[in-house]
Amino acid sequence: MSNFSILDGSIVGIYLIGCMVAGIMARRYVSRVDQFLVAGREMNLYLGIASLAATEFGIATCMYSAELGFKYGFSGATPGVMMCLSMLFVGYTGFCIKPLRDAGVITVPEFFQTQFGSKVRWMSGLVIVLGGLLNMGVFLRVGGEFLIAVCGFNPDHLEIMMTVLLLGVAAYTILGGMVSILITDYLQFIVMSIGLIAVTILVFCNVGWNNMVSAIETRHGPGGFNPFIHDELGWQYVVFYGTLATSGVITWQTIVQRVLAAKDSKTGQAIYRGTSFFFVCRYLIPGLWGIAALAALDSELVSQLLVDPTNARLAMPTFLRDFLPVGMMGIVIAAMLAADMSSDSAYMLSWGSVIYNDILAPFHKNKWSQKRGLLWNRMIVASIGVFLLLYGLWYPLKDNIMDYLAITGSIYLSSMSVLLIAGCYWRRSNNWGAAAAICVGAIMPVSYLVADVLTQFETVNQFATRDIGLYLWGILTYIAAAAAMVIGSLLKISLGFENESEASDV
Amino acid sequence: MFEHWFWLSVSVACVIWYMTVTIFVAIKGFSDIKSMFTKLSRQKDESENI
Repeated sequence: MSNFSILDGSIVGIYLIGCMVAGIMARRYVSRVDQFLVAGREMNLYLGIASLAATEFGIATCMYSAELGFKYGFSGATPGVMMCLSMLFVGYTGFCIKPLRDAGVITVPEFFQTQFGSKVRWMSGLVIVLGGLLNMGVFLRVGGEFLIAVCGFNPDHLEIMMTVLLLGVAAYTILGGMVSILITDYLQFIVMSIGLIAVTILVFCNVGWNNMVSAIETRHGPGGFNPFIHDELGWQYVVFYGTLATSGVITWQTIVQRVLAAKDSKTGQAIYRGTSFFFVCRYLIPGLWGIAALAALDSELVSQLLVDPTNARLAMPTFLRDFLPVGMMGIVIAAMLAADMSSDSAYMLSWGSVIYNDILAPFHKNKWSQKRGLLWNRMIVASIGVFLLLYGLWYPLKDNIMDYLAITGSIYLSSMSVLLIAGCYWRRSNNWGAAAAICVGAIMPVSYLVADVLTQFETVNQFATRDIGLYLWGILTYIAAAAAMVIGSLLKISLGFENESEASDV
Repeated sequence: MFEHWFWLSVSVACVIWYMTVTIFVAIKGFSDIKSMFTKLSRQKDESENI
């Protein structure tokens, strides 16, 4: 039985109304496409930190981080440590993001136009949107599962509840674009942080550190504290998530968009440094909730959840349902809604900006009026909302969420990071290499996804998912994309095509 | 045993860091919003004058 009461419902209601009103009111500051997409590049440091932190933490993040904590103990927080190190490295050196911001572009593919030509820009836009939308597709369902498990609502209401939430988010995103997102992100960051901190302190006080540590020792042994010696993780896990973190930090559109909206590259780098440790919190705080579930839930139930990958993610919400007192429940639900809304709105705008700026570039050629451009951007955001409803609520999630997100994200992260690094630092890179890297970088993860669902072809399925495994497959994807870039570029040079105009090649 | 102390320190650091940043960003971020609105209004006026 959940502790969700009228008091909790009122807290959630007041938060939702306040957020919607603030988001919709911000629309009066938007009259141009660049104001809609990057807030006229007028975002300062602290607003940038709030926005980036709010965007990169959704209910899905909370669910998969808690799932990793429940399944692997503290070793599950390794991706957060890797991401923090990558953010610090990029924040201090300006690696890739400085040339990107200095170029004054709105999206990553736009940056590729100069070095690789318009066809590569278009292809890049396509893989970014494909990987991004598949990745984002699970957000709604996972968010709904959390709310239903914690609040004790009827599971039949999941679709209606999440549709109403998405309509609200879409309304202010469509009207105010990035300006509305920044305002609501700021409010959502505060509400989300209060909820996350309060529950974590409650977990420390009521479950206790020693109980959590002994639960990990009993269930996972020393591997629960060190990923290198964990049976299911190992060096491949650390290297794969290290590579994924670095490539995500420099090319993931929702992260990079904060740099592109910053007033200059120095502010962009400062946002990265300032947000770096947040990524440890992003994995470790929900991870602690997952570990608390491991320690506090009934031993038989824990054993059942650990062997069933579909239900493991429900361990944390099941624990919170009984653990949170009245009043605190409302704060946590408001915090999680805040987290989900900020991610949904920013992701819709990010992928929408790539569709308008890069995929539709051959049609508008930057010649459309501001009014027409704004109308198209708003229609694209609305269409992404419709896609989310259809795909997000009907796609069945059967495995670890984090692994699904990592492999769909790699569809574009592998090739885009290779293109960006080559575009910034390797003068001999060209459009042959770029096209080869995009194709290889997309084919590898998609073939893994296909092999994973082809359970009737046991040999193929076993080779991909067990003999090689997700983490090694992921590492090979990045290596293959980089090799394709080098081979393709050198081939074009050696065949004497390097001076050919981009219109006739690829 | 080192791993236990490591994760305990990181967990405590997360809570303290997060609390500090939330207070700091809540105060400074509000000024950033006001400054952004001022600049966006100016941009809007300029584009209307053109």
